[in-house]
Amino acid sequence: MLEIIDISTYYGDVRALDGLTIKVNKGEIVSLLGSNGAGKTTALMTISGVLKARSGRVLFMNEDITNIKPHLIIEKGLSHCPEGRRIFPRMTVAENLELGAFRRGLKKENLEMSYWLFPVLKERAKQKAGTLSGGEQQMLALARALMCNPELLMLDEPSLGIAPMLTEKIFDSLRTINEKGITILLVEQNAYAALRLSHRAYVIENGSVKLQGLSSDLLLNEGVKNVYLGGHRT
Amino acid sequence: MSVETKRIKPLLQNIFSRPLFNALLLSLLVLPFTGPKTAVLLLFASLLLLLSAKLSRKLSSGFTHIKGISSLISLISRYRSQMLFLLALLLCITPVLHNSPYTVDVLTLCLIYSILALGLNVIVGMTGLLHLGFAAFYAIGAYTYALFSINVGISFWLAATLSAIIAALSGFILAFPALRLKGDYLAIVTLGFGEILRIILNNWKEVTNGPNGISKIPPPSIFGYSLDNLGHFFYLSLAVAILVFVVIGRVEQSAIGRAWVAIREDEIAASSLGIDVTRYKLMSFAFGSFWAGLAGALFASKMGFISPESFTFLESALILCMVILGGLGSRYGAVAGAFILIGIPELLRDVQTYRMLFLGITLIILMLFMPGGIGGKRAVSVYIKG
Repeated sequence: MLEIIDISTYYGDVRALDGLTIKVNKGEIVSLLGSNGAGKTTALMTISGVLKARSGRVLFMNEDITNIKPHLIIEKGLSHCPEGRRIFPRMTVAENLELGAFRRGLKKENLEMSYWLFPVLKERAKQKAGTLSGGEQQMLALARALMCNPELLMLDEPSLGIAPMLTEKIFDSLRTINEKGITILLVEQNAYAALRLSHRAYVIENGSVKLQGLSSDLLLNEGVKNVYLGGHRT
Repeated sequence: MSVETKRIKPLLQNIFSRPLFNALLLSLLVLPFTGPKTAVLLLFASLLLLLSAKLSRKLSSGFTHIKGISSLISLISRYRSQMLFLLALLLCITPVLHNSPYTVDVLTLCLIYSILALGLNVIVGMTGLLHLGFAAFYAIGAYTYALFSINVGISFWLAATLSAIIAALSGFILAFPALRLKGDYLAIVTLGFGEILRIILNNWKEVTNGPNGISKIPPPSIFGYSLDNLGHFFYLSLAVAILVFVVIGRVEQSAIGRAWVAIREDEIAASSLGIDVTRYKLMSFAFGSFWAGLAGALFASKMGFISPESFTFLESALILCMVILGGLGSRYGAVAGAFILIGIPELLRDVQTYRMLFLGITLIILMLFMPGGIGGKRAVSVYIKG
């Protein structure tokens, strides 16, 4: 469904991605792991067209979408939920959701699906989004990204700054979303949770893939354990 | 904050709790127009309106069993800014009935500035782009109207439309290079544009007649009937201002308005949702400038004479003050800001030399007690289900 072939992206003269190659199949959950500055966020930004790749190609559903504008990429069904939630705090929850459907038109079933996934959003539909808790804001960001009825959802750090209990809830909802047929590409600091959720994973270091495989294998991999899972974990 | 202000501020807030202060201000504003009787009446009316939010909370708990009263109270408290606006509108009409040319003239000016403030509010308030050269588009509108109606002899309506369109086009053209920049840098470029335009108007003698300005600009007319009477012109401005107010309101509610606000709130999030940020910023610039052009045409046809002096940086700053004073993003606020900033100096004519001092003090007090502006949307921390 999504193929990233030998992508290199620069911030000025600084190389952030160095020949990154990733493949996401339809129906999968794929996670990107890596330490700070490895290039995970840059990879998502390059795919969604916010950053321009200097070389390489991005294919989405067999169509070349390398370096076309972000709003056109969304029309093709690729939704990006950026890092740090980035909801519109002074707009209501409902307005935030409506903006999610900006490009592809507001459809009732999408709104109902969002409310079904996160009932708390329905309760607070008329409330200003800035008054939600961190976890609720993340749910809103997630629901907003789903409003355009995407084929592929890219998530950047959905657990950032959220209470562990809510993180679990959000990861559960990601599984539900995936079961509805939406492919997910996940960037996550919490490697343990990400590996338990996803089917496959890539470990990125210095802008290129260092390790890849089934998540269940990587969970047992000694190197991954030591570096990303903090040695041992219950 | 020093100890002194710490002690004084709550004291002041107790004496002049916000609603009381607002009501006093409003009735003081009206006093010279309507006489003391009406002003006192208005004081009570507006006090009731402004206090209704607090009252409704207390009363609705007591009156929950009487549905009519509690819903009426919540209705009043929900639409209180609109009701204040209606009050202001009523005030506009009374002086015309009293037939005092001076007040009519001032109020017409208030209306023209309302249009300007509404236009700038689209760019600064809704889209969040700091614009310091808005008077340039006002000038473009005024000069376009003057030149076309004198040299080509087309009617007011055609010339005014043309002014608005040309102003919008120049807004679009300025936005192209300017939108590469953000925040303070954008402000500097727009400021520069305003100055460049004023200097061009000053020096391009063949077309603009330089600093001497253009005179004998024909007044507007409807069906061959010339509107040179002040009262008639007042109603024309009122009609145009209401039109602008409604049109901007409709656009604000549309997907375009939503996109503008989204860009103001968070550009990255907006683009992640598929909003073409550059395109919507361009639209905002052009749309806001359009109304400046229209206001310029009104101004030129009202005055019959224009010169570059009317379009200095001070003018841009004044319009920006109106928008900020009114509360960024609030249409009602923009109109209120225009009326306050044009109205107060006129009311203070009696104190002559000190009037600017009083204006300054009023502004500082207003900003102290209403930091978000008059119609500013405060972030609601607790929502009461009604």
